[in-house]
Amino acid sequence: MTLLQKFLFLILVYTGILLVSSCSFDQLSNESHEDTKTEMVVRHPRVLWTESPSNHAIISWTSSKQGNKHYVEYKAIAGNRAPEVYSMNVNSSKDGRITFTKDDEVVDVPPGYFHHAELKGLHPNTRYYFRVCSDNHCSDSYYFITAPETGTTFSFVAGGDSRMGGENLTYGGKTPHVERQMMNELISTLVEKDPSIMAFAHGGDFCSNAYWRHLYWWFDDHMMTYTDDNRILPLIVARGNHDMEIGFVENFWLGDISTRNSDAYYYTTRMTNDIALVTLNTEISITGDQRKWLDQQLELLRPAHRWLFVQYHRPAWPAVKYFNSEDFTRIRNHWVPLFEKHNIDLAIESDGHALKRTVPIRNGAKSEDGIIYIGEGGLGVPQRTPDPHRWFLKNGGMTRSIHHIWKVDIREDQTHLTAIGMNKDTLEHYKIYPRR
Amino acid sequence: MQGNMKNRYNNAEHLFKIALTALVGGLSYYLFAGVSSLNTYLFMSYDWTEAVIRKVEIAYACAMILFLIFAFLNYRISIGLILFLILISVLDFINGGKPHIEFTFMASMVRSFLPLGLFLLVVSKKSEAKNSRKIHPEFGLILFLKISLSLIFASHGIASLKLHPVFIDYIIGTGHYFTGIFMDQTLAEQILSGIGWMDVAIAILILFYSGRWLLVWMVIWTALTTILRVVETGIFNFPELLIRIPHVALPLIYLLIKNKK
Repeated sequence: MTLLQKFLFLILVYTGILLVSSCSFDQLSNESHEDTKTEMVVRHPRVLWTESPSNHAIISWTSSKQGNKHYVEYKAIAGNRAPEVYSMNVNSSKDGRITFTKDDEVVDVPPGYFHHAELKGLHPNTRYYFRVCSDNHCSDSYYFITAPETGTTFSFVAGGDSRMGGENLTYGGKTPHVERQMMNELISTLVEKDPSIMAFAHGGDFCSNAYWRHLYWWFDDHMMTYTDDNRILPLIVARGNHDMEIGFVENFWLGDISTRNSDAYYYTTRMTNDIALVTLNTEISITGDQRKWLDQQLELLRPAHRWLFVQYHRPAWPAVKYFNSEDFTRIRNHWVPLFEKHNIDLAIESDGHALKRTVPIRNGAKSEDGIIYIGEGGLGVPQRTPDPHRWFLKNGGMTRSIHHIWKVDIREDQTHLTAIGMNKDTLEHYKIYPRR
Repeated sequence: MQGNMKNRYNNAEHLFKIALTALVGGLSYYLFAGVSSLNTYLFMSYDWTEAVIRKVEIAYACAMILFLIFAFLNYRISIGLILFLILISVLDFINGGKPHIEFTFMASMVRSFLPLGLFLLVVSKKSEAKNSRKIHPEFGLILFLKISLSLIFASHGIASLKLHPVFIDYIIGTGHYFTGIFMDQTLAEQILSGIGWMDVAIAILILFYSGRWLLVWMVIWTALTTILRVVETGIFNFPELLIRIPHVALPLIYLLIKNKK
C-alpha cells in the first residue's frame, strides 16, 4: 500500500468511527410540526419563585401553536373566588419553540411552545388569581399566594428526583409515572390540609432527561399538585444531573436573577426577611464562581436571617451512591466547609433515591453543633437500598428505601422536619433549633 | 525480528497488559462495590431487585477478570474482552446524567477497544510476512494507535473547548490543593480553552505525524491529567485513575514500536 493509500484508509476509518459516535447525539427533528388546523391550546400553567417571592413570581406555560400574543391576566383577591374580570395583565417576557427531537416524534408527544411572564410589584402575603392566555385562548383560573415579607413562620415542602418518563416509556414493566403521580397527589393533599405550606422546593432530576417527551408529562403530572380550588404551589427549582438538556433551560426560566446568568441556576430565595433558602447547582463548576458567590452570600445572609437553608442536587453525604465519587467529594471539600463556616441550619439534598437524615455533622464527624443533611430524592423515582452502616446515618441518623417528601415547618424557636410517605404516613420527624 | 525490536515489542506487550489490567481493575471495582452502570441500568430499566443485580455485577466482574487472564494466555481471547468493556461504556451512556456524555462515550469506547491493540501487537510480533504484498498487521497496529490517540485527545479537547465543568474543577481544585488559593473561574476557563485547542491540534497531528517529541508530550500530558484524578479528589478516587491508565500506555507503546531500524 502506498503512503497516500494508507492515509486515505486512515481517514476513512476515522471518519467511520466519528460517524458512529455521532449517532449518540440527539438529532433534532427537521419537520415543522405545527398543524395549521390545530386549535390553540394552553397547557401546564405553573409558578416559579426566584429571589423575592414576596413581590415577584414567574408564570410559565406551554401552548400548542406559536401564536402572536401571550400574556397573563392577574388580580389580587382577598377572598377565595376567582375574579370575573382581571384588572391587570402582563405580556410574556420570553417565548419560543420547545426543542423537538426525532425521539420526541417517535413517542408522539405533541410539540409545544414555551412562554414565561414576570409578575413584579406584587403585594406580600396576598392571593393572586391568574389566567395564562395565548392568542386569547385562556386557561382556567388559578391562584398562588405570595410569600410574607416579614416573620419567622413559614412552611414549604422539599424533595427531588421525580424522574420517571413519558406515557409510552416503560420501566420495569410498569406504567412509569404512577409513583410520581401519587407523590404529586400527596402534595395536593398536604396543601389542602395545611394551607400554610407556601412553596415546593424541587431538588432536581425532574425526569430521566430534559427533552420534551419527558418534560411534557412532568408538567402534566405537576398539575396534580394543585388543590381542588386551583391553588398552585410556587416552585423553587434546582438543576439535577438529568436536567442537562435544552428543555430545562427552555421551560424553567428564572428571569433576570442576580447570578452571572440565569442558566447558572444558583440563587437565594428570601422566603421572608428572616428566612432564606440558597439553591445551588451541582452540575456546573463547584469550585469556581459559584463557590465564591456561596461564601459571599452566606456571609451576607447569616447575620440577617434567623433561618438559613441550602438545597442542591448531588449530596455531600450520600446514603446510597459511592461515597468517594469525585462529585460528592468535591462538594464535601469545597461547599461543606462554607456551610460550617457560616453555620447554616439545614441542607436539603437529592440524587440518591432514598430517605435520609444525617446526624449533625461538623468537620467530617458527628458533632452536637453540626449541620443536618436531609434528602435524598423520593418524589417518584424507584427507591434504592441505602447503606445504613455509613457513620452519618447511624447512631442518631436514619435512612430508608421509601418514597417521601420533606415538610419543613419553620417557627421562631424551632423548625420541624417531617418526612411524609406516599400513604400520608409520617416516616421521620426531627426538630432543629436556630443558631442565630 | 531483530533482538532490539523484539525487546521493544515485548515491552509494548507488557504495557498493553498493564493498561488492560488497570482498566479491568477499575471497572471491576465499581462492579464489586455495587455502583456500576450495569447496576443502574438493570434497576431503572428492568426493575430487577438489588439482590439479583448484585449477583449479576459480581458474576460480570469475575467473568471479565477471567477473560483478562485467558487473554494473556491466548491473545485471540482478548477480542472477547472487548464485548465486556463495550457493554459498560454503552450502559454508561444510556444511563446518562453526566455532562458532555457524548464525548465521555467516545473516550470510553476507545478504551474498550484496547484488547484489539494487544491482539494486533501480538499478531505483528508473530507475523513473518514483512515483505508480502498483504497489508502488514503492523499497519493495523499503527492505525489502531493513531486513531485511538486521536479520538482520546479529540474527545477531551472538544469537551475542554465546551468548558466541561468537571475539568474547570480539576484546574481550580488542583491549584487550590497546591497553593491554598482558589483561581478565578474566568482564568481557569481560559486555561481550559487553551488546553482544548492543544488537545484538538494534537488529535489532528497524530494522524499524520508521530514524531518522538509529540509522543513524549502525549505521555507526559496524559500521565499528568490521570494523576490529577487522585490529587484533586483524594486517593479513594483511584478507580478513575486506573480506568485512564490506557491513555498513558498508548503513546508509550507507540514510542516503543516506532523506529524499527
